[in-house]
Amino acid sequence: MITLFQVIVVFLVLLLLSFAAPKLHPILYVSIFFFFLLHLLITVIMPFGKTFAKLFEPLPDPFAKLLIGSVLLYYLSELIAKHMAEAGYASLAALSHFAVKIAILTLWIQQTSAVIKLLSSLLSK
Amino acid sequence: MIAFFQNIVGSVLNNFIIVIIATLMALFIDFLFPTFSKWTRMFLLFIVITIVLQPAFEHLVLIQKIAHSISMTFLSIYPVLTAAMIASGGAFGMLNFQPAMLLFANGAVFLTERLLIPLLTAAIVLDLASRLLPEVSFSKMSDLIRTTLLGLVSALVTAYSIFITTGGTMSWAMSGFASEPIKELVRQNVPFIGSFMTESLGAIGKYSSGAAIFAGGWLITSIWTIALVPTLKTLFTAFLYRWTAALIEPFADEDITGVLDDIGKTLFVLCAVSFLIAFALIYTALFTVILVKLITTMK
Amino acid sequence: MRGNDGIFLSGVVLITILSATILLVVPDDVADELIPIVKLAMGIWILRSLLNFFGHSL
Repeated sequence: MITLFQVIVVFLVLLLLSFAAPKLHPILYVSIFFFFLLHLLITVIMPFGKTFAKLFEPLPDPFAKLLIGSVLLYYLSELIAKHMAEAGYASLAALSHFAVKIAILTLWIQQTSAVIKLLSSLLSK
Repeated sequence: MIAFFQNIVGSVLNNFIIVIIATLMALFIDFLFPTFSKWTRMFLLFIVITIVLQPAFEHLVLIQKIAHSISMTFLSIYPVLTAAMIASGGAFGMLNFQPAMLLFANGAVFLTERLLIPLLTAAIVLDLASRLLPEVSFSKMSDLIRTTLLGLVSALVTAYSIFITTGGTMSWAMSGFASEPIKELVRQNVPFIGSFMTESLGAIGKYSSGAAIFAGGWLITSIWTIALVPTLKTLFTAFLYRWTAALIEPFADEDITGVLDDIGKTLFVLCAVSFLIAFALIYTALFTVILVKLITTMK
Repeated sequence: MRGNDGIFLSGVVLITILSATILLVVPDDVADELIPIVKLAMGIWILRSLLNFFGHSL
């Protein structure tokens, strides 16, 4: 409920800014967006992610955290990339998104390499 | 027996492990390049086909080779056997061997070599084609081929068992009660060919228990083992295909599990076909053994 | 053996529930692109438990 109210306030502030300073509007929009994103991250998303991870604690160690973490990372990267694309830098957005994807995969590589190592130890027999 | 299974597992398992690793790799690439996923699917399918098809075709070639050599043996042994049968006169009357049966067995093996195995190869190729290009599907055709072959083989085996059971002297020595639950178990658990297996095994068992009086138990056992080893090998490999398909289904592409499953099905039919050969081999071997015994004891 | 079995099944169920809820939360187009990660997690989990089952005999 509070979040919804905050969103409305931010929206109104943005509308007001577009009237007050049309030339500065893009940069103000971006800065307010990131500010609000940080705020939401701290107040809503992080606590939810933590409780979610705690909920699935019985799942052996890395899986729940890895899944939640990679989804969060992916979503944030998608948001930022969309923002860049809206500002007109679409290829830069694609590039950053791709880099984040690789970062997510490096999180998983440890698990995968353990399994592949086991499998390939079977292979040599 | 354990070494035998390890041998099979070792040779086939390698291929399946490579398939699993390739699937994991494809998942990575899929995540990195979502727009590339069609290509990934194609590459993965190619990898899987080249790797996985090899054991299946090895089995087809193996069974075909066996069928070929057995039919050659039949051709050479048949005149000798008939001549010996005529020479021994009435001694065979009590055993109720029909010479026509031998001819029939020969015909079945010939049929296997010339018709059944090429048709099975066609079924595998059609399956792969319809997986590669789902828009142009041959799946009904390959299904038809498989069911037709299965029907043909089971009809042949029924004919065999009619031949054998009309001879009154061969009695079912092994207790029917003891083997009934095992039969039921096999029938339930081996897909497609389970009931066929138990039927044909029953028929061969009926026959060989009559012959065991003459030939001795261990000889019968060894003939059985030799005849059934290729069949068992094929059955086990078919099961491996289906197990792998079931195992990787949650994380692999649908097409890949479909390919594995189809090859498994075809191998089950191949197993039924190789049963036919085993049948013919057991019949001829027992026949020869009994003939030799009779000739040596009658002197 | 029985304990392992239970852990394996509960792992499968938990991964399924977790991924289903996560994919509900994020928008549709993101969810589609996240499916390979979920599949990867499931595959690693299955293979790891399987190798743990039979690891001692291989």
